[in-house]
Amino acid sequence: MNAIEAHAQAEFRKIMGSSEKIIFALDLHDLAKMKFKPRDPLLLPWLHSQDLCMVFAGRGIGKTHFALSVAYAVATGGRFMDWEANQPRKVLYLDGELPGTVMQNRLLMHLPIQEPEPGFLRVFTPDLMGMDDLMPDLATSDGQEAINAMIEPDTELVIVDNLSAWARGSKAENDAESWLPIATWVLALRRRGIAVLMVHHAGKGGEQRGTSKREDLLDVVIKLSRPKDYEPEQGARFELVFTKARNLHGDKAEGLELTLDANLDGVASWRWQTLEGSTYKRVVDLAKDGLTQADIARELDINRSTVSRHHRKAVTSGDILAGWSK
Amino acid sequence: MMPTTCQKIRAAGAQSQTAQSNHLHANYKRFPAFGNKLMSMRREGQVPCNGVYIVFDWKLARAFLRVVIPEGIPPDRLELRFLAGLDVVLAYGNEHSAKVHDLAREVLKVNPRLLNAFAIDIPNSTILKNIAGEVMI
Repeated sequence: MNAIEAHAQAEFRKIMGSSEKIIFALDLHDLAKMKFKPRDPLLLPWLHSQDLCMVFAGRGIGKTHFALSVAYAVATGGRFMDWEANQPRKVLYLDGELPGTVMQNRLLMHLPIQEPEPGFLRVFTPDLMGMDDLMPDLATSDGQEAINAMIEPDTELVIVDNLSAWARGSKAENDAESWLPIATWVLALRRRGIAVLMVHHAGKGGEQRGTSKREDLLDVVIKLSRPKDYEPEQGARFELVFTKARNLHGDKAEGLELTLDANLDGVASWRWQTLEGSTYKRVVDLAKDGLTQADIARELDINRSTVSRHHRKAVTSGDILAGWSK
Repeated sequence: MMPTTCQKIRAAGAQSQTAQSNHLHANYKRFPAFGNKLMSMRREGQVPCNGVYIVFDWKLARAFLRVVIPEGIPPDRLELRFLAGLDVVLAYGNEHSAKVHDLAREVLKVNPRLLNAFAIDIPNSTILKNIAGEVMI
């Protein structure tokens, strides 16, 4: 290195603080004066900039339908159910599984009346790659670099659908270490002000597949599952429960029951109600069929005290007669 | 009465929520085009052999190592530290001449070895900082 280069590097190190990375703690009074990047609401009440979120469900429950609806709502500044985006934000949707045509159909199915402006929803599907190209692997630094290249500086939400397809790695999925490279990547995105929604499979036990260490880092974890009284002809009908939701309390954290309908043209629409309302309705229906409260509790797999509470409410409101179930 | 620490934190938070423009925080600095790559190279200890051109127009200085200043971003919101210790040429056309002064001041803050402003339409070259460290602005 010549003198000019050495001077340039010395100046660079000086202005960067040091050649080494420095971590430091601040005095409370200094911290009070710091201005951090604020958390902008992307989809209220649960999704903000820098949030790290996961939605998981078993196969065929409707994870991608759900994630696409979130993507459209954020990209258009629109709504998904009662959730609201206050302005359009740029979204990158990384699909790692579906054939291109299926993805096109699903995107068309959920396309809102107010379409996203050009550039606000960008989608990657594996069919965009050449025959000989390998899908980037999020568990490797090369894969992360390849994906980072797709993230524009003003992207505010990255949706990874799904984690198993994008982070293959060499380690077993339930090995906590397998999560480390991905955790590092999502934390780097958070520092850039980007929110991440990861779509993941549920394991055999119904919880998210693989290491539970993932949830430590996440701000929001959403579980989608079939209702107890689900019939296959009902299509995409599922319950949504926030199994973890930092900064989300009360009614906002309440579970929902969602049903996806499609009209003859294949255009999707969602119906939803709170789980509390849905359970109440089911208790009323079964009570009208003459089931006892104990039978209703067994049928719906809920506590008898819950049945009793809904039953009392239904009698008081006149939805059922007092003698219809014991 | 002096505000308590708690009040200061609340006030800073409220300011953070309101004093926003195009989603960028007051302390957040954005790289000009190609700046991120230059920063990565410098972090790895690499130093460009020749100077770095700063341009406002994508058509300019394409044959050289350059960064392109994005439209609509105030110069004090740009990350320019990768220019520290380097020879820098700020090349501009008439239409961007009004922006040169403020940008040059920001560049000087990161202490380049040399800063030269080059007006391509006149043409005229002005040394704003020489290798002796004298600043002429």
